Amino acid sequence: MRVMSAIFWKEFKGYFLSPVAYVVLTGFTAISGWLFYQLLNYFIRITSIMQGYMVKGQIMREWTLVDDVMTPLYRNLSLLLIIMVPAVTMRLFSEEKKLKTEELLLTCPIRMSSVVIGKYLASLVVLFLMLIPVGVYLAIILIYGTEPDPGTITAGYLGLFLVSFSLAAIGIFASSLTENQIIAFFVCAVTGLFFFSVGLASRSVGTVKFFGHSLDFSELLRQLSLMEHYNHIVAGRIQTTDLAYFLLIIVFFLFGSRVSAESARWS
Amino acid sequence: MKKFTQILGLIGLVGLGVGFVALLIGQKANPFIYLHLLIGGGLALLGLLSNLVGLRDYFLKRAGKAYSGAVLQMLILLAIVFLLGFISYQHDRVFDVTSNRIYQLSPQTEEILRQLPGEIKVTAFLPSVGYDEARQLLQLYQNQSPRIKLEFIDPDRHPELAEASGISTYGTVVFDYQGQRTRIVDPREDRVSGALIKVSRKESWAIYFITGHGEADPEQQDKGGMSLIKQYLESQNYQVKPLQISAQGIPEDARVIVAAGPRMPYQQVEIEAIDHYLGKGGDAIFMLDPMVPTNLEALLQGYGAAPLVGIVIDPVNYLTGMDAVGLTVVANTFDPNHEITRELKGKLVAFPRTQALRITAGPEQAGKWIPLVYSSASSFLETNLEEFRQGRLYQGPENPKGPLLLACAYSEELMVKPWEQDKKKPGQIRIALLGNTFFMRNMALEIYSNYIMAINLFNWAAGEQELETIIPKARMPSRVFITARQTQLIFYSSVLIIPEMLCVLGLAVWWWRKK
Repeated sequence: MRVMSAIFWKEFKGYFLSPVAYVVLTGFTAISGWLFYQLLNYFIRITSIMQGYMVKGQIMREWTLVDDVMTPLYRNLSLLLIIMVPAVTMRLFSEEKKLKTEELLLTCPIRMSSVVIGKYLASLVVLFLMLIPVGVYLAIILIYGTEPDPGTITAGYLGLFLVSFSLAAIGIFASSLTENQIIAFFVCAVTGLFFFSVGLASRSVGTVKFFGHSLDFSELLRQLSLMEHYNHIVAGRIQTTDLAYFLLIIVFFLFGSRVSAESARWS
Repeated sequence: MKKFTQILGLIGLVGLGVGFVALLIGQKANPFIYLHLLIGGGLALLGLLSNLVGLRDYFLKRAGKAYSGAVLQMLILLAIVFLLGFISYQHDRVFDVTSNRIYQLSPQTEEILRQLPGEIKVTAFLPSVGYDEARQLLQLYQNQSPRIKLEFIDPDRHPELAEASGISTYGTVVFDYQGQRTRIVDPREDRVSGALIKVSRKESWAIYFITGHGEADPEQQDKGGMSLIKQYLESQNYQVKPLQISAQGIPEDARVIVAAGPRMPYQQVEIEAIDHYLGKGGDAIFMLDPMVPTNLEALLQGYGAAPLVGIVIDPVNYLTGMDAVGLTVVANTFDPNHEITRELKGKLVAFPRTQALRITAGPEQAGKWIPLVYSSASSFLETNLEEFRQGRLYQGPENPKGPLLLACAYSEELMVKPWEQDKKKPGQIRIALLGNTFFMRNMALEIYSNYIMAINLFNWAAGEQELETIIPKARMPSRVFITARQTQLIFYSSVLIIPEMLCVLGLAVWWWRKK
């Protein structure tokens, strides 16, 4: 625990004594604020003109804050996280490798899992701070909106945390593989993009015969897709599989980071 | 040479991987896949065999052992993760956190499922792309009742099965029960539940729309037609049929007859047939448009209600999109207890071009009229129709002022003689009288809560107390009320001030660290 705490504070200070955290926080806050302002402004204008979304003169559905403001905001922000999270996590192990301080960690009689979790928690704090402004937008909607559907909006916000925490786990794993921060950034971004988009492939595949057994490959790809699970949560339909998915992603990649760092100890 | 075979081995592994993935996605082996699998496998084998000694030495070293151990651990964890994921998928539970509980079945549907008489086979012809909501909805039915046997068929992959069932439209769901069959397209909760009742009910209830006097046509799909309400009624287990009274009288199986805006007067023989039908405990809906005498007025007067001559104008509460003077009256005052209107509390119903009604029945009347819908206090009845036809409106002291009655309902219990009780069930006369048809025509049915009122009207008239309206669930419409100043504040604080502060803080730290 002491080791974990020491690593956590070292990384935490590292973030805020270098420009990394400020650049990421500034960028994310400005873009998310701009998106929110645009969506809200459009919503106010469109609701004063039309009663709902119309096709051929008939109202297909009425305007709602969930469908027309918060869901587009959450979806866009989740894509933005694919760039922002690797920027936060890329240095965690890569910098140690490059500066050769990793050897110090590897030769110390400490558990590598404490190191991994300490670093992971430090990145989570930065991500938490990054997502706080989105909570302010949520509060604005809840205070000034009529029938805002607070359960769904809050679920979407929590979903944003789950996505960022999962990407952070992927990012720390990517960082443990290489001493080059740019490569770590791209490995994390591409892996994140893979998990986001793998569900799209489910449309072109069907049941696959696999060693005599039929396997619903399209359902497998859908279940692998981070976007699929995130969309459930944003829509207010939280399934236990969604929560299990994010938990398993985090556990798998944190364990992978530990294994990767541990293997460096013996090589 | 050794380096070369190592590279070849790696290329072989990549080719083998690509071939394997292509086989999984494409499902059918083709020359491209064969080429990759064969050449990739060959090169990989070559690389392996020519570097066998080197590989053995590497794996015997500490680093080799560490890396191979790491890969093995990752593979074991991957297997565990997949296993846990599979278990959670098999025991999935859904938590609906929406305000309207839009991912749950309504209590009416749950009741319908509880009362299913037997096993109903539900076959959904849904393509694998899209239709997720329909799939989830049908699975909710399956989870709720063991009597629902659900099967999904992708018509693209099994066209022969779709053809055998006569399916030509994506999203068709077929319900089979003891030789009876019904189908719906584009499943929604109201349609699925309606189909379940329809397929499991022995008798079929018919609603007859009177024809021959220029009435609104349930088959007509343009704005003036009533094809939308016909669809809704069919999804609620009614058969909609045309009725020419002069030729066939009123059939025995008529559950409800509807006079939907006749444009010319009914003949005496037709009025007598309707009167006779009502007298036996029949049910009817009369929707009479303004400025058209129909001869039904005298019949209705006998029951104690009649339309007032004139047209209702509401210069304040009207739908601006449909007219400029207030002809499309928006009503928000409803009887809170009647089955037709009790769901409309806090909602709006638009009545384009309506006349007002008057209840004249006294205490001697056997039945009772209930006023259902009123216009607002700002409305008035334009009685000078000649002036109105020439496009001139005049509100004088002689014009009746709002609130004006726009719809009312009559019910009368029929007394059955003791010696007839075995033959005849105790009946009830139900009459719904409305001052217009336009609220139910295609042009206005989906405005505000018109269709809720329309469906409730038919359910009440048909005596369908147990089947109340299942409203397709959706999120509540919402609005944001903030001033222009507050909008500016949101813009400045979220887009400029907070990022600016963070930026300045970052620069300060960077400057301080640099020193």
